[in-house]
Amino acid sequence: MGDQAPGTLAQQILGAKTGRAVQPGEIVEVDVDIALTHEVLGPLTFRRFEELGVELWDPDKVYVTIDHFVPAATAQQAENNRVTEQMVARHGIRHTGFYDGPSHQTLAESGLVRPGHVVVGTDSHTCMAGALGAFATGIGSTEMVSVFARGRIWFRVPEAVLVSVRGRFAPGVAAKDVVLHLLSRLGTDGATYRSLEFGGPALADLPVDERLVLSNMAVELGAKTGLVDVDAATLAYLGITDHASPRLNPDARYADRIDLDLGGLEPLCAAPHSPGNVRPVADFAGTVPVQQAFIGSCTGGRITDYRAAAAVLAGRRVHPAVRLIVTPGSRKVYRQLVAEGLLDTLLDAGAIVEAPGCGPCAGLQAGVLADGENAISASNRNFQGRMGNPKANVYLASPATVAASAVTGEITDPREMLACASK
Amino acid sequence: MRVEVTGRLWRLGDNVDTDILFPGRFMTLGGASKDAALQGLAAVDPELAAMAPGDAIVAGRNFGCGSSREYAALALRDLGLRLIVARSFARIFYRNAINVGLPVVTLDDVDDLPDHGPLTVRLDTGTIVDRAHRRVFRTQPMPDFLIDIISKGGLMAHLHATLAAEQGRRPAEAVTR
Ligand code: SF4
Repeated sequence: MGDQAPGTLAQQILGAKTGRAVQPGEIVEVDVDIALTHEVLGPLTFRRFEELGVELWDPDKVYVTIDHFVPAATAQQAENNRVTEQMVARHGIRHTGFYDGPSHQTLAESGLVRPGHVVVGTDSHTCMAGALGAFATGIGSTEMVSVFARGRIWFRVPEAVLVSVRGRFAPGVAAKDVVLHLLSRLGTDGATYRSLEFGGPALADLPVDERLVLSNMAVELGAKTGLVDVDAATLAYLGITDHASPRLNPDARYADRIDLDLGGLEPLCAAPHSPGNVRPVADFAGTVPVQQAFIGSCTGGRITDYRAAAAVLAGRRVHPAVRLIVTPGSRKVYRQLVAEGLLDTLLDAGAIVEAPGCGPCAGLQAGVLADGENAISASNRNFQGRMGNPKANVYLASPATVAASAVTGEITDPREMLACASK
Repeated sequence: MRVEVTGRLWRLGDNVDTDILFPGRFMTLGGASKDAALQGLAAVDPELAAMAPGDAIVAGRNFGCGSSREYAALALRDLGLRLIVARSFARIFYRNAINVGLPVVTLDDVDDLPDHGPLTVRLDTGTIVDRAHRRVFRTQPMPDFLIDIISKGGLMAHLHATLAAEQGRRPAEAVTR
């Protein structure tokens, strides 16, 4: 195979931007297509940017959200929100998502992202746009100041790992379990500096909702970006019919290859305080009482997630000792919950439904834990203190597992309940 | 570029994450300070609250994993830490540290480093010299353009210079840290 054969997705995208073939290890500087920031790190970023005294390189390529402090829980949060709105007005930014849901989800729904784009954001889960074929990654505030001024950023062209998926999920198993499986195999630094690239025959059966989970948690494996091969479903999600997208070449030079049979997976759970601390949900049976269950966030707040949760919750009640918190991943998802009657299912089961946004994911508001409490969450991180209290514990699992655990009041394998439901 | 560690080398384990280095509750415009890092670290080990200027952190794998919050690197720099040495870094933290002018070095045999300075680190040659024990540790030299950013005190100062050169666009005034 000569140098002409297409490289990894990361190589193809960075190569197209550079105007020549690029190799892993090379440092390249590329144009940015979308720069994302939000009310947590945006105000600091804009203030530093204004010190430079130059104009924003392209206000139409900047996307700004208010999604963490929604609605504000403290006066300081409210101040961040206000400054964010001021900055957006002052710099003529048109693309925004205010009080609409986690930035990564609203950006995905916005139609702004195209396969082959370079997307950077002052948020580590910016990598989620990789499910739409974009080279997307998180950066810090100062680095964003540089992007705001120049519209360019340097990258070391990453080595890539190919994750090839085949087979079909058993009932009660979902994309979240794929990532937890990868975390158990590779650890939280198993893909550091690398591009994690997903392909294989099972991709066609995975709705874009589920592919977004794979890219979202690429950063939990340390990856620079998590790209998913683009197909007709991706284009339909973006509302376009035709696009010259880079396509995954399984024969490219991958540093590592993982072949995964989805049919062989079972529900998994990451115990405190690391997303890499993964065991089968069945192992926890009867040992971990939970006081809070959370279905939401940029990882677990899409319509597919709520359909899976509703399949478990239909005709059941949340355990009296548990708070089940739901924050829809976007306003669009919220409307869909209403349209499909799922909001009723959730409310009937006893869920507390809050504003679309990050909710309790980062412990900033809307469901902070008490000392010694256990939470089971469909989000992506369970670091010590993540849900606002270093003396509490967060377990990560799929929306179906979270729903099953909310019903029993302890960490529970959803397959038990799905089996009963189908009888 | 030369970095001198004069104080203590604080040892941390693997996967020290950004929620420890800078708990989310401090992440508002008014809340950013080195105290956030001290409180976060003290929640793991109360002794860590004694970190002082001139000290360094010696950590295991995947240091700074998690969020993109630059506050984590900023707070450690503002504590006066001279250096972070780790077996490996999470990539966003690594870039953030450089961008705020905090030197970072990747080293495999971190266990052999002493508990106290003086240590002299040269980023360009990738050497760490422990004179008291007559030892030299070797690691990857850092690319020049990154050393340039650190030696200017971070990306903001570097950016002022780049913009002036690139576009003839005049930066407003000297950068305030
Ligand atoms: S939902 Fe959680 S992980 Fe996603 S952007 Fe919000 S705080 Fe971050």
